[in-house]
Amino acid sequence: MKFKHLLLFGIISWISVLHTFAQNSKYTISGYITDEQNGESLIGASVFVELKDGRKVGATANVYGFYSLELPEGKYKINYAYVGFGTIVKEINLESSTKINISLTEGQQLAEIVVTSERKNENVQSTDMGRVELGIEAIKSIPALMGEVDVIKAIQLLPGVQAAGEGNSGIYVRGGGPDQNLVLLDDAIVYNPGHLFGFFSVFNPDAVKGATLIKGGMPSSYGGRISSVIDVSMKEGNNKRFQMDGGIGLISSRLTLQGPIQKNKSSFLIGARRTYAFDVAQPILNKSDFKGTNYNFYDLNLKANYIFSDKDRLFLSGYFGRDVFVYNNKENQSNVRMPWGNATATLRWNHLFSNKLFMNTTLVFNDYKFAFNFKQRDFSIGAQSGVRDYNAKIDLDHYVSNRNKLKYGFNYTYHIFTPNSGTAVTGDVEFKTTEGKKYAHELAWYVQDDWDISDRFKLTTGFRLSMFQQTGPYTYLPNGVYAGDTVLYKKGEAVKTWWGPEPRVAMRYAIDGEQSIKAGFSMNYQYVHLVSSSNSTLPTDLWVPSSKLVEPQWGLQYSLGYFRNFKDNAYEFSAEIYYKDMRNQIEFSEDFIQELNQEIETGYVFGKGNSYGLELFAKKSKGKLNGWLGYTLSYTWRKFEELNNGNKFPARYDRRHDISVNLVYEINDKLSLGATWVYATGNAFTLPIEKYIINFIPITGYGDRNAYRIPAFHRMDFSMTYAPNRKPEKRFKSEYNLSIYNVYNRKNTYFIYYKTEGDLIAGNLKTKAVSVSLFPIIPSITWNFKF
Amino acid sequence: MFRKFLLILFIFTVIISCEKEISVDLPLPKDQIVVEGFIENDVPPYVFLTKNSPYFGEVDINDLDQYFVKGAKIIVSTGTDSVELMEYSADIINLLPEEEKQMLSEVFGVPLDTSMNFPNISIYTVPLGVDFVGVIGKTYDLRIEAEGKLLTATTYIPHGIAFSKLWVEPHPNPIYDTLVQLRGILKDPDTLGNFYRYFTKKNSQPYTLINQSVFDDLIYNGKEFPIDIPYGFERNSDVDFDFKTFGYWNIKDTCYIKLCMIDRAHYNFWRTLENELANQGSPFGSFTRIRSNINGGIGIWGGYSSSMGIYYPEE
Repeated sequence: MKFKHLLLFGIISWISVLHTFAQNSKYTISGYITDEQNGESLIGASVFVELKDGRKVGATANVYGFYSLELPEGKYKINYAYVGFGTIVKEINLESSTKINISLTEGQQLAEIVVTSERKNENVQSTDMGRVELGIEAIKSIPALMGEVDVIKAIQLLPGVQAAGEGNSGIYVRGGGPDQNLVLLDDAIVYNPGHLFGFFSVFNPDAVKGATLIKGGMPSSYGGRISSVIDVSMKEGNNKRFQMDGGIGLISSRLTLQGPIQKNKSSFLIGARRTYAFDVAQPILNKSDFKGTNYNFYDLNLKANYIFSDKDRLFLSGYFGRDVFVYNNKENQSNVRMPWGNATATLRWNHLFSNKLFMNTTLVFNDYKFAFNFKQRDFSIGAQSGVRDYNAKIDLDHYVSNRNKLKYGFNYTYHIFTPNSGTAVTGDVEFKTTEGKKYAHELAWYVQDDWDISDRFKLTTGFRLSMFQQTGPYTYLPNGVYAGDTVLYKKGEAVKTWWGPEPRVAMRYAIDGEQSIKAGFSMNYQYVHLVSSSNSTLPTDLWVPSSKLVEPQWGLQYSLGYFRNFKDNAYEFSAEIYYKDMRNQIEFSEDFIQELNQEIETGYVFGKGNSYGLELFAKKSKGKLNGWLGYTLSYTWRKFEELNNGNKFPARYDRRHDISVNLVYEINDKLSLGATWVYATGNAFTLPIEKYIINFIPITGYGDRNAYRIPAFHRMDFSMTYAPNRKPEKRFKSEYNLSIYNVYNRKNTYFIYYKTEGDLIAGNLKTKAVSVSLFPIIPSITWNFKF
Repeated sequence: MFRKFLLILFIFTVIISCEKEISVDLPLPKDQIVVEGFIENDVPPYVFLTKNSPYFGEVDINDLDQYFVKGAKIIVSTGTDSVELMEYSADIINLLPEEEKQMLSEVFGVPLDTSMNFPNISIYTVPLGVDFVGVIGKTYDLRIEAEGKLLTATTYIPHGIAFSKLWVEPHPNPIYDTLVQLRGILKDPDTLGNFYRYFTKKNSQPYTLINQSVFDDLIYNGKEFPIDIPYGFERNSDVDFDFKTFGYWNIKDTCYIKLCMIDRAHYNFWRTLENELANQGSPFGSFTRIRSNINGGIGIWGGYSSSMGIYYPEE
């Protein structure tokens, strides 16, 4: 099938689906649930009514705050609730389908102690497993490194999620690699979510509304990655009044402006953040040989939305972030300039076909770029790499009945990958590596049905069909280098096409209102890959598409969980076990050496992996003291024919034990304390085990792959937030946040390296192991304000 | 160039980090015999047999002796011809006149100590008086019985190629007017899969190697092309690396370039070994496992077909 036909088929299929559902029998109450203060939609807010027979019927607001509930004619008390907000009960006499838009007001509970933004017993009642939602207020209450509130690092504190390394914002979910997480910011893929070589994430906390992590049982609307989804949504912008938020911290400052363009109808948000840590050092650097050396990052968030009517709403959001590293060395007359970063733009159109059919159409552009420029006298090298996507998708929420909700949609992406393309100039001579850009189409259709079979039994079934096609222009290099025999593919010509059927099933059995058992199965395909030779995600890491040489990765995940709430949902507890099977996993071969002019793919080896484990999670979300405790026991293995003599070995991120504790204590209205403690088994690594002599030089021989562990990692952080004026009538509010990172100054090993000293002939050759630790105790203070 | 980036990153990390020496509990490695044996056209085969040692711990020259495997039975054969190598200890070699010691030092790649003596080692080679040298186009099997172990390997001496032309070009920066870049023309054979290693030497100094002394013909297959020939350095000596001048020859140097063709396994050994040497200590790079062609042990049994190119400076 030609690609154009596929696209046409996709469009026709959703239109026909649309037309099939256009009639309703009972009456429907539908509308939007928003925050009274700023008009932000309340994602996941709940709507429920108690029927005469005592049964509860309810619905949850989708990501745009839209809900739809179907009821027979009659009188009802409708409850609108959202954690941390006052519940509104509305009495209605339902005689026809009605639209009710509701605004909830933040209740007595202070925002800081809102740990989740979910329906009270959502964790027990939904079929979702391995899904955690974190509101930005919860994220802000966690002590932060150098006071930089970080969405990704908050997610790292959840069970099943591991940090890639100290202070690193790369994450590993249930034994999957960092490239196996779908990181989204308002539907746009963020290919590199890290600033400063991954020490901070790219999300400005003032512009972010919250984040959802899905580590298992991915809904069919998501795809393209085999491990997890991190879906970050930006605030929409206050459509009631002008608002200014900001903060001044140790290494960066933030300012976010938002307000109505037309009250209650449209709003905007502009957020900016920039670091200045190295700017401060400029006077010293300017006197040295390193004049002009600097490093900074900044990001810009933009959002605007317009409510045309109850039926149509338009959102425009954008992100632009850059890291810029400049290194000058006067002594050897060299200069390095290295900018990198993401840019995304998202246009979304919400349309209500009826009170039961909600459609969202999204157009996304996203771009990740990395450039490296080195100059020394008359010699210079310039290199760049990156990935750019154009994406269009349509998602429909179809509220067939209270017991049955359908979601279906279509997603298309055009990818452009730029691997290392570079130019070197010596004097007047220029060398250019062949530009090996790669192009690909990625398509997916999905349908998902949420079906309440009975009050106890709920079933979610989904199917996603994905397709990936590498397309020309492309020069296939049978030898893997830009020389010799080549096969040319013309623009648009299919090079290789892959199909992926992705069934997903999740079910819940409610034992009673407070406890349930859930099970899930999901299959995922992943067509774009990032293979890193180092432990963290670096800006130099290259994304490559599935191609003639690289098969798509796919994974199967089975999970089973027990969910239990206590004391009117004040305490939540869950235990989940999972088994994950991963195929076509990619690593560099152990003797891979990247040569110039060589396709990076030729250095790959392929194998399989699995991961299994137990995750325990306990959370308290009410009262003065709240927080959570997570524990993970896991095993992650890889088996590659060409690695470790074909024997299975632990993955780099195999971590036996992982504990995280996060507590917030509200002393009074003005003062709150936060503390976190994390413990993790040390990362697996390969150790040099022997030394031998070749050519009278000591040579290192390595032991089994990843057979050793660096020492266990543990650390405690502490924070104190003081808000002198929290009275609601005051417009200007400010707070001081004191964070202490690594309270007991643990010298956690970041990496181990080896030093060989002396020489063989002189007879004093000695090898030493050196442990490098990064962050000692670091106190920091941040001042935040809101106006 | 990304290595440079990693270096910068490394420096950055070191600036903000704190280091401490730690002791790592390492399991003892399996006892292995390390082979370093070569056979070159018109040169008798020779083999060093050593033992591996635990990664940590000091290697002492006075103790070097203990790393050498003595009393091994080593046979090199072509299928029709074979020879049993004989063990020569440093004591015997050190009895030779200095000139011969220097010649042997060059042949075996053994650095002499300060008193111009061979270090305390032993070498297995063809017994005096036996005529057995490498022949181009032949395959050589190695069979070693030592310390109760049997080690085998096979190598091949490919057909050699010489530079068809050698010349020098001035350093691109006129400041360095006494330095020149040596260049040569190489004609790669038509079939893919030719592997090269080269050694450089100026005047009467020892042979040197650059960091990456091997290359293959993936890019150049069947082509006649000019190639830069940088001057190397002595691997086992401390070199102050200055890349403004590194690789350049002096305008008055007599430049020797020993170009060798090797087989694939031999190429892979040096390629991985040299990469491992270059990456050692970099926490961001991954380790490279060195590919050996020895069954039952580690190391290399490599054939060389060499040809010498000489460039004489203009008077």
